[in-house]
Amino acid sequence: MRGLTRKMSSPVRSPFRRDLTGLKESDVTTYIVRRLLQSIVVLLLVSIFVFLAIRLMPGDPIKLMVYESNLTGLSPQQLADLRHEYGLDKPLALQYLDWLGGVLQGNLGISVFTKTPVAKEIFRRLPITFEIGLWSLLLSIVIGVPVGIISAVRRGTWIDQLVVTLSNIGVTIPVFWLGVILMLVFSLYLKWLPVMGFTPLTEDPGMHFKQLVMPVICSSLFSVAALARQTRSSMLEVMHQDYIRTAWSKGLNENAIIFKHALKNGLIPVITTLGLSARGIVGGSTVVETVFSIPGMGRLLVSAVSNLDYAYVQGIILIIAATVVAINVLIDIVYGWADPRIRYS
Amino acid sequence: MSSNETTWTDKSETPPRASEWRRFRRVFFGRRVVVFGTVIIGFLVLMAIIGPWIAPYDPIKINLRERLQDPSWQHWLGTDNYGRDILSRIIYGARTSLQIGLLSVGLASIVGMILGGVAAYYGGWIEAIIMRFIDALMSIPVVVLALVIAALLGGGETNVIIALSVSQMPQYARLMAGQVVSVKENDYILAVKSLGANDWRILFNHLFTNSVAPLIVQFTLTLGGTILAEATLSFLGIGIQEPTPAWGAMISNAREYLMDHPLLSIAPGVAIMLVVFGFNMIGDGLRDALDPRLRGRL
Repeated sequence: MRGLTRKMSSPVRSPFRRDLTGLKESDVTTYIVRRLLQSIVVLLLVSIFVFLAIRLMPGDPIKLMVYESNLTGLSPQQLADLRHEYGLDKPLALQYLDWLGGVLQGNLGISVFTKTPVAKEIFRRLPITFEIGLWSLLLSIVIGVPVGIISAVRRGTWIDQLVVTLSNIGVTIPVFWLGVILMLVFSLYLKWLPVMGFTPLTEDPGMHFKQLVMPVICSSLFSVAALARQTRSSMLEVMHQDYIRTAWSKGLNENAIIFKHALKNGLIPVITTLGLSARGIVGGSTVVETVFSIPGMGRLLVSAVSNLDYAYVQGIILIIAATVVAINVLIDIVYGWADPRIRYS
Repeated sequence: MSSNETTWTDKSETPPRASEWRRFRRVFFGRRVVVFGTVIIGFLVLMAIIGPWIAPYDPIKINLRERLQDPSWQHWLGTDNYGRDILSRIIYGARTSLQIGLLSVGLASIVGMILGGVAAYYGGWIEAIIMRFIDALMSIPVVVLALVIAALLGGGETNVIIALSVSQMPQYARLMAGQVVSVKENDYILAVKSLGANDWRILFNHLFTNSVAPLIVQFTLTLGGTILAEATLSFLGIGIQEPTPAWGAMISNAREYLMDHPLLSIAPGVAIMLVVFGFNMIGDGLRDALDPRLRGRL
């Protein structure tokens, strides 16, 4: 999709323009700076969006808290005091500025329910989510890309058929269902892996990795399939081009053609898919961590969302959006570096 | 391009010529998986329509005397922990999935098309504002966005539809914006403009109709994804609430009995997979048959 957006929006918005004149160092710096500024605007919009969405929705956190902790006997005055304590009685714009000011200082607010700073808990859980995410991304690349290449090179053979079929199935499997099925087979029947949970690396490295196997498989499933599909189709496109035919006709061997000539162009669109995969993996953490009871950020979001715990929901979404935006900037830079024909402008 | 001709015949769209239709059929049904996908979706639609007449049992009636039964002639797929017939719940679940999928993708595509079309047609600050807003929405993963919106609105069918359509909308806005940018500089648009057509007329009668092919493909492909997302929300307990039969919630509910009654978890999952697979294959087939240039882009 990103490749598409870039192509479609070209004369107007595209940061890159096809040009064979090569690129200057200063262009790159300007481009990166502009891209970062754009990202800040996007993140500000996300923060406004999240803030407003949460404040304008039905459901009052103070009433909910009172209800949850069986404090229904509170007088209206006491309720008002509570509201004041959490700053919920100020005008919306002020509440937003207060919150944003805090965010910029690393203070994401205090949970109405646990009465503890939200940032501390989120940053405690963030490494767990990132670890699973990084392993999943790595696994997707290590499996998806080579499989896609083989499939394209051996087009029409049984290997290709198998890859196409499996990747078509791969993008349809519900992640949570796969988790349940893996648990059934590998934990309950075969008893090879622990059912669920999480053990820190420092406590028991063996257990740590055993417990990560199934979550990583689940969260990488979609991107393995998507990367294989994208690699296959872009490799096929490249293999049809004139310069590859020339390489064949001048008698180069297959390996040289594939690895030296086709791969360099064939993998460029794959970079874009990688960005989408990373976004999917970040989003999938909610599901995977819930299925396998992993105390990461994703599961925290699911429980915060069910409790309408504003501070957590806002904080986690901001961090997720920041991660995705950072990945996108990185992808765009890598994209320009990988394809010197496109110029930063 | 044939679009130039349809421009003049205006609203009474000329039906595609017989040969075009034949070509479409040949390409579309040329691949066996596409035929398979079409059969699955045909079956799904049938289930959704005639489900209430063919389902053997009431999908929400609790019958504790028959709880957690294994498959038998009375209950082909067994019963759940409330004694409800699994097959009947899956049949009714088809209706839930299809209804939510169609409504949310429909809403998403209408709003997205208008936003994207307006942004690209007018350009300037209108485009800047709309597209930044779209960028912001796109920086939040679909599942997360849908989860948060559905939860804040309070769950239930209508709210799930709103949540899913907000999270799918940006894709349509971007697609539409790209289409409009590539079409609006054409001479025939200038011609229509010089004949005195106003902006809305150009947008709706000319720019939108020229983007039908990619939008139909996108529509089919997102249907699968949306049904998957709906199942995910229901699994997380934030989508469709009990006792309405929803495939995602059925899997979530069955987890406790995974060891002794695995079929309770397996069956709804297979249903979800088949349906998503079906829509994806039809989408692929439509793409190849309507506009092969979209290959690799959608």
